[in-house]
This record gives sequence, C-alpha cells and structure tokens, in this order.
Amino acid sequence: MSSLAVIESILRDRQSFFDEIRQGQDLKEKMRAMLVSSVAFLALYGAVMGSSHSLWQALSSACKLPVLFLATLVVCAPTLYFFNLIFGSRQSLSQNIALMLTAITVTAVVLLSFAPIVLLFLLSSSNYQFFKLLNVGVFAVAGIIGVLFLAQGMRVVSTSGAGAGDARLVVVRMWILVYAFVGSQVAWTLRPFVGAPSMQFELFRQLGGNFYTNVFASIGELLGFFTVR
Amino acid sequence: MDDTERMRIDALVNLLADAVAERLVGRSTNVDAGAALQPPLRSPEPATSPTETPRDSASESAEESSTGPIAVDVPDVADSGSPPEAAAGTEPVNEQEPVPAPRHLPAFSATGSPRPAVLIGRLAIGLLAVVILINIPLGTRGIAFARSIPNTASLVIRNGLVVKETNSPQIWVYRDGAFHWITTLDAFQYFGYRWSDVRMVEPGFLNQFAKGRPLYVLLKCDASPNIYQLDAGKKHWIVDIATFVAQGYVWQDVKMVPCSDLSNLPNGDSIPPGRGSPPLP
Repeated sequence: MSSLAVIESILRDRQSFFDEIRQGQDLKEKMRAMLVSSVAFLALYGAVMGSSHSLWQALSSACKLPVLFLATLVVCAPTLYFFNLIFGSRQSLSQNIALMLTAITVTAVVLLSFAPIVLLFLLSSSNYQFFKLLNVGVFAVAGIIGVLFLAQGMRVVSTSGAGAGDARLVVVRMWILVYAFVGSQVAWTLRPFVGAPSMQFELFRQLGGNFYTNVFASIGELLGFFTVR
Repeated sequence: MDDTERMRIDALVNLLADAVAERLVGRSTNVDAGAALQPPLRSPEPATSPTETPRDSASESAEESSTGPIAVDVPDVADSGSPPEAAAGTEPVNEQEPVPAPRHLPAFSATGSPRPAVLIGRLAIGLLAVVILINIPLGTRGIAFARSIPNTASLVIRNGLVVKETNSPQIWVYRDGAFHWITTLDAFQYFGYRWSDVRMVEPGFLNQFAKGRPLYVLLKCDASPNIYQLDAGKKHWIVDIATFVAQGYVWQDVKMVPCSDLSNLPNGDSIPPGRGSPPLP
C-alpha cells in the first residue's frame, strides 16, 4: 500500500480500514505508509511555519514537527495499550499504534490542507502573535479531527472485545486529554516552531513558562490588553 | 385450477421472488462510504425485461447517484460504529470479495475527477515548491520573500531587546520592565550588543513604555580604587559607594581598563556634582 493510497483509504473507506486493523491485515505495511506520509506532511507544514523567521528556522521546524508527534505517540502509546488491556480489550500493541498513527496521519493531512491558508497569512501579515495563534488554532482543529478518527477507530476495533465497552470509551476519552496535555508539553519543550522576529534563530529555547500561559499572553497582546514581556 | 388462477399465482410468485431478491441484495451490500470507488450495486433485473440493454458501470453509477435508488440501502459508515457484519444480519448472499487496495492508484476516478490521494500529493509538491521559492534570498538586500514584510509591529518585548527609533540616533535596551538608553558606543559594546540586534522601530514607539536609568559604562584601573562613569567622552568620578549604589550600579557594570587610558580621558563633573576635582587614577 503506497503512502498516498493509505490516506485515501482512511479518508474515504475508513470502516474497511479500521476493520482491516481489527483483523490485523497488513498492519506493518499500513503503519509504514502512515508513518511516511505523516512525517512528510508534518515536515512540510513545519517548514511553512518556520519560514516566517528564517531559513534555518524553516529547516528546524520541518525536523521538529514530525518529532513532536512521534514523541507524543511513543510517550502515550503504553498508557492507551495498558488501560485498554485492563478494561478487557484484545487489541495488540501494534493495533493500538496503528490507530494512533491513523490519528496522526489524519492530523497531518488536515494540517497540510491548512498550509496554503497559513502560507497566505505568512506572506501578507506581519503580526507575530496573530501568526502564532493562527497556528495554534490550526493545530487544535487538526488535532480534534485526528482524535475523532482515533475514537471512531477504537470503537470499530473494540467491537470484537467482550463487554466493558463503555469503560473503554471513557478510557479513550481520558487518554485523548492526556494526549493533548503531553502533546502541548512536548511542543513547548521543542519550541520555537515559528520563531519570534526579534530574536535570533535558536534550535531550542530555554525552558520556562508553559504553553497555556503563553497562548493567553499572546491573546492578551493581540487584543491590546498588555505586551508580552 | 384454471388458466386465470395459474396466471395470478405466477404473478404473485414473481412479485414475491423480486421482493426477496431485492432484500437479499440490499443485505449483502458491502458497506462503503465512498460508493463511487466501489462497483455500483445493481438492482435485481425484473424477469419481465430481458431485452434491456446492459449499461456500463460508470454511466450506471452516475445515473444512480443522480436518482439515488440504491443510496437508501447504503448506511453511512462515517456515523456507524458497528461493523458491516452486524448490519448484514443473517447469511449474506452474493457476498462480494473484499477489494484489495490498489498499489498504484490511477490518477482519475470513474467520474473523471482526480483522486484525493493524487490531489494530496500534488498539494504537497506544490507547497514544497512554494516554501523553497519563498525562502530563496532575492533582491539587493538578500531578503527572502517570506520575510520581506517589515515586522516592527510584531516585536516581542523582552529583556535584551535593543531598539532604535528611525528618527533618532539613540539606542535603547529593554531591561526589567523599562527601556534604558545606552549612552555610548563603549557601553553598547561593553554590554555585548551587536548591530544585528538593533531593531528599527517607528518614531514614538518608545513613548508607550517606561524609561529606566541610562546605561553608562563604568571604568576603573587596577592602581586606583576610584570608579568613573564615562559620559560624552568625559570621565565622571563617582565619589563614594553610597552614590554608586544609589545610581543603581552593580560591580558587574565596572569595566577594567589600563590606567593610562583612563588618565587620557578628559575630566567631567563629579557624581554627585560639586565634590571637587576627581582624583587622578
């Protein structure tokens, strides 16, 4: 299965795709295809984000964005697998990872579809805080769509397990929250992705603060309440 | 049983057979959200129309999508949480073999429009080309198109931000909640700033911020305990530690220089003023 064919399969024929995951059909091939396509699309979106600052920032973001998603997957996969196991799931770890990769692939495709819009604002706007918040919004939308696919996939794949369906649904919902928190923390650790225009290029910025306070501060500055210091 | 009764029974049996066949075909339908990708489902042909010309699948699919006779039998899997087997119920008849995903996708679907996978691929390639193009430094100033728009409005006010208003020669640095004037080139260099750090801002930009004490470079040589403030090319003696502290200085502000360099600088008034001639270094 080619990397692009797997995307078409997920987007247009997801029921069959999830059924195949449930039956364990071509899992390795699917995972490889999803990995390749999502890394490529995330790298491309990262390059678009970083282009607002410098060429080095574009290259850096192109490398860091796939790492962000894959690191989050690696960190969160055991939690999902073992909690599913506790609540009676018969899924293997490979099936869990395949479902998570499905979510990441969908997220990457949605990000790619937003890339022309982000590119337009990159070329026509000079407000750093606005550009940063635009990207936060795009990531939020893409992430939500991605985890919706994950929840749907979990529902399909879990139908073979006996009982405890409601409990597993709760597990998935809680796991999505954990995934969001871990993802935002990894993103904060790997920042900058856009690069403040008044600062030199940095591969990584020193730790301090957190993702949420920075977003609120940016909103405050954008609305004219205060200046980010 | 006369001929009329036989014909009525035959007609009833035919109707029943048609209804059963229709239902079985509906149940054995392979659930598929993208119906356009699947071979179109065919309604059971009525026995009374054997002369009807078979249609090709593409035209049939287009016709069916416009009239929708089969659509009611295809559940929307996007909202369905149950597998197709659950929807199928009892033994499916005419069960279709699962269609393996094509390894090489044709560029166009049956309707003539490009496939989503092909479109995504083209979008990715197009974006890559644009990203590369906008990052190539062009023009006399060597600025890439992606960064050609001035970004004075997007400064992040933070410690260490160095700015200069376009209509003024003064350079200011932001420290601890206020902008401080860097009084001399020596001070600028001593504090480790570079010209590439200086951000040009529009006139009046600094009016919206608090101003802190100006930044001077303080000079001292090994052979003398006295500390001097360098201002406008003259050295000003800071008469005691209390004044030094009151001015907000710390020892890290003091730059050690050779005594001969210090002696060569002309004297200015002491700090605080009127405390006599500054002692020789």
